[in-house]
Amino acid sequence: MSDSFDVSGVLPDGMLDEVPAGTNLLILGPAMSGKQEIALELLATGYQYGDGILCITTESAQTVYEDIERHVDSLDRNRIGIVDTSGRDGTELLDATIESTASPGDLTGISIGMSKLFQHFESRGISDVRYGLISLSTLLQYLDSRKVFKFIHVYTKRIETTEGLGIYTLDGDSHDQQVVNTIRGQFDGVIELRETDDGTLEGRVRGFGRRPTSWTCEGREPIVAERVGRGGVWPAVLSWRTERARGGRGYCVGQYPSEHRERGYPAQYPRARRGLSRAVGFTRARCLGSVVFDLNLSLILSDTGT
Amino acid sequence: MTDDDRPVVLIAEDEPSIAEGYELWLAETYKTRVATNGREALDMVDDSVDVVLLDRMMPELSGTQVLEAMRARGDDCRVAMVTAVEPDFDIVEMGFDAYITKPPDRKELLDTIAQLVDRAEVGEAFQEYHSLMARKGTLQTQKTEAELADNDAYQALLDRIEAKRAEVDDDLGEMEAEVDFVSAVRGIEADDEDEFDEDDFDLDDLDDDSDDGGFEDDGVGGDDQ
Repeated sequence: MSDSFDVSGVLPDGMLDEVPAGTNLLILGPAMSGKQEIALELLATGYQYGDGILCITTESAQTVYEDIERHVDSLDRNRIGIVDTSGRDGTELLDATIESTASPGDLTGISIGMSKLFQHFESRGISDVRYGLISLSTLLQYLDSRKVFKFIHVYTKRIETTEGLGIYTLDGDSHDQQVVNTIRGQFDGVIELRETDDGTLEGRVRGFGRRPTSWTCEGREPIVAERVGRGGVWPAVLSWRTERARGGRGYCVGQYPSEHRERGYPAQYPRARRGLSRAVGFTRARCLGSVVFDLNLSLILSDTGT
Repeated sequence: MTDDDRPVVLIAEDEPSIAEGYELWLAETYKTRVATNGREALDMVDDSVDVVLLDRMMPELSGTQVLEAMRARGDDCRVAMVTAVEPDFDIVEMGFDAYITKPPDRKELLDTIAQLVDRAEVGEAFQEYHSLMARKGTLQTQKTEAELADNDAYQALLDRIEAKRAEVDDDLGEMEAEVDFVSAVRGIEADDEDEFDEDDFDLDDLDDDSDDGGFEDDGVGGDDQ
């Protein structure tokens, strides 16, 4: 078992490169600030070192699986486990170990699923486990905030004791500020995200017994995508650092719609814009890719269903 | 603590000599009751019982059947299974809070029961811990970090939070074993009824600790912005 987790490369260099085993880290930011993408990158970063990924999701396992798959070269079913709390059927994924609960409010079910997957990892000699809980905001919609608070306490303590790494996301604007403050106090560190008045996305790291880092948008070239899912089209920011995005994996297959081609864009989406290739990873998505600093240049990719 | 306050342990064990052995060990710290088969055990479980020591193999109803029936009718007292075979993960899923391998040694038995009693009683400390953290959260919305850093009352609150957290963690016990983790989470889910009664807890708690001073509804006193 390692005594630390390498998380370098997700945030700008020096901001957060390594955390001790047993760390619980919250990613806090408004909607569309890229919380989930950062969480997934933090989970996936350890995959190359042989870490296990154990993700509790309030979406379907399929969605999380696809999201994680974008960040790793090939998924080994023995090293990824998902607790699907969406209550939906159809979790027959071949490459991940899935446990299901009827709803995000079934805390005992979540803890049982998590324990089972932990044992599954343990029996295969995987001792370094990165846990995702995405998202706390959904738990707060289902349960009294005191109950969520207590659950987080027990859950973080479990991760601390078993020397894992816990990653959590919380939408700070969707809940009472006092509730958000109460909950954020339970973590060793917080990655805070915000959007400035001119639309720039910034982040900083607080906690870990250190002074907060300063707000920065360094390396932040988010890709904005429209994701077609439940409840219509909703936006998602897909990347903190485009240079980390993995291109050339068959996702980059979109074509510009004709009106863009008329404006001089090539027929095929350029591989060089690697960050955008990731956006196309949403097989069900229509992607509206753009660099946030240049929103007027939105490039629309049509989904080819690949 | 008077004798009447002692936690109640129900021993469900069909072999009288073994049940007597447990009683001897437990008598110093707990009030004990003995059921000699599963059906009797089920009849004897009520709100006054804190922990059930449940033998897995019993006539009439087995230990697992008793637990199933208990959980089905909403009894959430803590249950330790005593089993001759090393249990598999089913034990956790079934709703046992601990297991003890037969034959237990004295220390193992006493430690397990003590941990379950503590965990059953964590509710109040947990509630207090949440209230203190919520108070901290409120102050953070009202005051700047610099103001809070200079405020003695706030610093005293942080100390109390640390102390209360240690108490909660001690009551919950280790989280290393899956059965303990799941048991602790089940306890949170079962804690519904207490939640409403303790709504006003935070103010009472701060009032009875005048050393802290300064905390009222409007936050840290004397530090107006």
